[in-house]
Amino acid sequence: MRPIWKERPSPGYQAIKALVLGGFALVIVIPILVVISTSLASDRDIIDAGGYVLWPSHPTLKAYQTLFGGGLMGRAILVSVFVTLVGTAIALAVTIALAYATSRPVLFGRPVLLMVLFTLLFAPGIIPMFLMVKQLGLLDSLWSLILPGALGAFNFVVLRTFFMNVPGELLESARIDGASDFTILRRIVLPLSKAVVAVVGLFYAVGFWNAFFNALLYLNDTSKWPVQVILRTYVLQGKSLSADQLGVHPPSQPQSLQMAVVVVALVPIAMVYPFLQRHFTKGVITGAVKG
Amino acid sequence: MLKASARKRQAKVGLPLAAKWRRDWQMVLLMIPGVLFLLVFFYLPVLGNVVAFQDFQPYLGIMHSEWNGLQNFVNLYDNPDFWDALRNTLLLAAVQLLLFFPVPIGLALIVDSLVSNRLRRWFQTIAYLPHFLSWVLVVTLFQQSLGGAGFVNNLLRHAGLDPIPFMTNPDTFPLLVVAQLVWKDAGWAMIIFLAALTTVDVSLYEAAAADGAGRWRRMWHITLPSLRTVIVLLLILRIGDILSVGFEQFILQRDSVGPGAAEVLDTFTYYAGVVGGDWSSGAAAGLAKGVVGALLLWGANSLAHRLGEPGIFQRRGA
Amino acid sequence: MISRRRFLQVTGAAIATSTTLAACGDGGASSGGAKASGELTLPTYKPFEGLHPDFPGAESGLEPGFLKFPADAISSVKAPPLKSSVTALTETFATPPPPMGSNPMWQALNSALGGELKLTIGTDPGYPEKFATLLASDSLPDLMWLPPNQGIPNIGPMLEAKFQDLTKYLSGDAVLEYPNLAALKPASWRTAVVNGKIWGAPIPSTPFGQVMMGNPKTWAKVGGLQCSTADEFFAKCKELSNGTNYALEPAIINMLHMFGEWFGAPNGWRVNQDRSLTYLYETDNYKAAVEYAAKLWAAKVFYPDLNLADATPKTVNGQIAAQVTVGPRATADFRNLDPTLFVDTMIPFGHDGKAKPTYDMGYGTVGFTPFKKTDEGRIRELLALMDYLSAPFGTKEYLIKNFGVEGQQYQLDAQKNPVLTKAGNQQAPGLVSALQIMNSPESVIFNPAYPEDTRKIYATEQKLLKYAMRNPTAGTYSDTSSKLGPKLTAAFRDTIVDIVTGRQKMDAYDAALKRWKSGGGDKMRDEFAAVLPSSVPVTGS
Repeated sequence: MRPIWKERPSPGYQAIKALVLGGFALVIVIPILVVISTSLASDRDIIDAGGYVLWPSHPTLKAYQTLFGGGLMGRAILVSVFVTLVGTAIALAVTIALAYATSRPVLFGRPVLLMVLFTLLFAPGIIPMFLMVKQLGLLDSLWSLILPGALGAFNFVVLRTFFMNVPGELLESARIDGASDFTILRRIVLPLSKAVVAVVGLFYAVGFWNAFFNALLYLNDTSKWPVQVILRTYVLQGKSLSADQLGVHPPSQPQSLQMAVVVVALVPIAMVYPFLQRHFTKGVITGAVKG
Repeated sequence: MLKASARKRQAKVGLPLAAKWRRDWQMVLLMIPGVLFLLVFFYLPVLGNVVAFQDFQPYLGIMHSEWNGLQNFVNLYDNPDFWDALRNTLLLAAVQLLLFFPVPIGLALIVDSLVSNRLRRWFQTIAYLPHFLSWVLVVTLFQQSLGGAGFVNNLLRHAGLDPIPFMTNPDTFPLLVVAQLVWKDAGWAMIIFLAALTTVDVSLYEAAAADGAGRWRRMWHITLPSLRTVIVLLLILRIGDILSVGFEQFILQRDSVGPGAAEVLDTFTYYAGVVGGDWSSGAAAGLAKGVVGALLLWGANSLAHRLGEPGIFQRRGA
Repeated sequence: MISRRRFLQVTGAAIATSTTLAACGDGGASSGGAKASGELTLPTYKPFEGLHPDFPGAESGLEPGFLKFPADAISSVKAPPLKSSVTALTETFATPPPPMGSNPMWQALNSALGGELKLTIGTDPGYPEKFATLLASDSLPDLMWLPPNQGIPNIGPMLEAKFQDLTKYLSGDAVLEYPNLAALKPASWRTAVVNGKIWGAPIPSTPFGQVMMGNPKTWAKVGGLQCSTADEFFAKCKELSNGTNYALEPAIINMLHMFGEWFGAPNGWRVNQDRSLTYLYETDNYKAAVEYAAKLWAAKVFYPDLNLADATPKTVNGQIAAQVTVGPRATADFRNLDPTLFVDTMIPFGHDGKAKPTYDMGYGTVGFTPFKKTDEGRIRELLALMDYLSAPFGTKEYLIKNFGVEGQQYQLDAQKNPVLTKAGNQQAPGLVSALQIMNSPESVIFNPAYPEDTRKIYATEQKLLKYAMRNPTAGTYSDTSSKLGPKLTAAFRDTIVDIVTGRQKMDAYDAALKRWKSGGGDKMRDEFAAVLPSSVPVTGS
């Protein structure tokens, strides 16, 4: 619905807008269609096209049947969903608490802030991380995929900046009404920051969903592998350095199967965003301030 | 009841610790889980970076590997390829900043101006999909369309024209890199700006429109300022991380355009260290990068303060 | 994925031209390694008896060929090898298998072994990191596959520190206690010798190096793939490249390797009359090959996009006429995609029709699997396991390891060849790949569905062997090569690719060569020359 104060755009402006957005959408949709088409293509289609297929002439679900017919894929999806859900929940809780606590001038606020910013610059090595995970007894446990990723400095900084932008007068008046810091966070800061919390949650979710290297290092039991590891084994197979170099020659997986894995790894996470969009509505602050 | 205003006033003055504790204990409690995570999963393991001053061998461990002082850093400094990689990295980072950084902001503004909710949702959902495709696939898809044997060049050939080396010309490589980045991540990066736009007070638009401010003036005076903090924040973060321009994207296209254009610090480190199992060189490069990043971050943050922005780290009492 | 392939071209030292592979596999301490290796008595070679290949193998590397799987498979071990469970780190090059608990084939293997074989299955990328973390955390499994040249340096001291010296159990006639290990060839065993000690059983792969393969349907238009001069090849490529079709796969370094053979370039190092060494890059032959490759590139006969992940489907459908693969047995990869297609293998020829070409043999193994330090009883148990898993083609143990149980994971087809069932196709590939990479018998040629292919591949191998050349430094060790070799090779190859694709002029070659020499190349030469065995002949041509 067009707000009453908003004028009708000129046809020229509208045309440019349509062109930009339409063009952008098109360049994205076509390649993704190619990926999907290829996942549905028959072997014949793929050989005729020499790889990627624009439109399968004999569409088949064979690739998906192979994928889910046995092996690890079904389980891997469950693992990924679990890690993503639990990981995002924990990470959001930890990050929100820390970002809120450091968004005001409080005791230990500055040193803790510095502590987090420092993590933007340096990274612990693979081996020390492995030793730590082992010490904690997390090897071969899904927690080894969740806990090390529970606080991202980038997400922290973003969240904190938004928290700092919450009008001070609001917090002030809440305090005058006797609200505790916990209450202020829950009743005022969070509701006002729904959009950014949704965004940071999405960032975390995508991070957990896409992670694979920790799984390779920390999980020996293949039944606990997440989707991304499976994805890589399918897509890399037969093209890997070692396979080539060693002359081990497993034939590479059919292109259709590779693309089917790509699609399977894409769909669940792609479904998240539309649900989050409802939090992207305006005017919340106004209401709150006025109310 | 006086707590809040007291906190504000006394932040500069400094209370006795006990008083601060009484005032802030809830906030400190909120910090504990995060700090714990940092200690366990960052600060303890990050000490392992001392291997940068060693000739580290996994079978000996940190305790028994030989110390070699600054040798790993000297090796880095003495290698001309390192400086070439640094130059490429800075050039690519500059091009990315100039040409990529504004794109998601522009997209967010356009999307925000859409009246139809449904259109807006559709576009966002489509635009963020490519973020989930791996670089391998992105480069492959670009090659399918723009490569020497790709769709566009085959069309050109059919039309009797010469093919254009989009994917193999080292001189235009930075543009190609940006194009790929825009395709893959512009829609994704747009999300955070859309979130920032939700904090705009709609009544401001109404009032401005009533005062006769047109579309552009409203955008300039209301919409953009509301994005300012986020833009500055992301800019600072990007500048602090300027020595990383990506890894996979470059290693995948290194052959096509040659290392002269595509060797960046991360790929250099990969070949110089990781490939030969040289953990120490990798750690040394990481430390050097971190120190430079710290300086840049500090510089960018100070600049932000001058411009009246909070940045990511505030001066005491600010 | 593409990066990995590229990575191969850079550091991987595409099997046949590698010096570093040899260095890693055979090397060890910075001093005395090679000498000690010379004094060691290798395990006695005793070929497995009771198998009758249709085409016999030979010491030269010729692989025995089987037209069908031997009927009534015989047993090669007397008793199940294990008394308790064993842990092992290995890598799969197929998709990972269902875990032991839900994998009947794995369970069947366990009961045949007499104990649980608990595999930690790594994947690529990530294997060297996994290896290093296990090593650093001192949580070694009983067995750890040690790949050659995969970013695991200083193998000598590492083995001494953490792994078991097996010399007294395997050297000379001691190996005869494990007949399947005794059936591994001496050339394979050299891989597992470091610092004059034996550290594990080698894992043989094909002894053949890279070959060029072409789709005969495509090449028929120009009179076939085989050529007798470089000019003829050039003309054919030119004719085949038009529209959206191209003659050659864009794997520059691999193609260059093929051209080098036509121009008489050595396999790694050339041994001169005075027994001094000249490296591949220093020879005029290789330089000429680079020039030739640049000429082909300029003529636009290479597929124009360098990072092509998988050329095989394009070779099958004719978009690309020829590509480089490893070993003549790779014809099977094309059969997989198109059952009607048997690709041609290029036999090297002299560039001017007169000069003698070379054919570079490969490394021959995929490394070895060392044991964690342990006591004699356990060592014997693990050796028995190695023996079981190295059972030759055609034995009962080979069937259980590769095909599972008849009626469950495999069935016999009309020709009595084992064929995986649907269940087998789910349970086997990842598991078999993981087992094969840690233990293998000597390789054979076997194409159950296409016995004719076996005959043809056998013939191709005989032709290639006429020109066969081995890297003279294989089995000796240079400290510098082990440390700097991969980096130097990578830098030089960068320049070569630049030259071939026209980004740099030919005069960059000499500058790059100078850097290679001063950066460690000359030192490598000295070190290799000092330990060059007298048994290595002067390089012909």
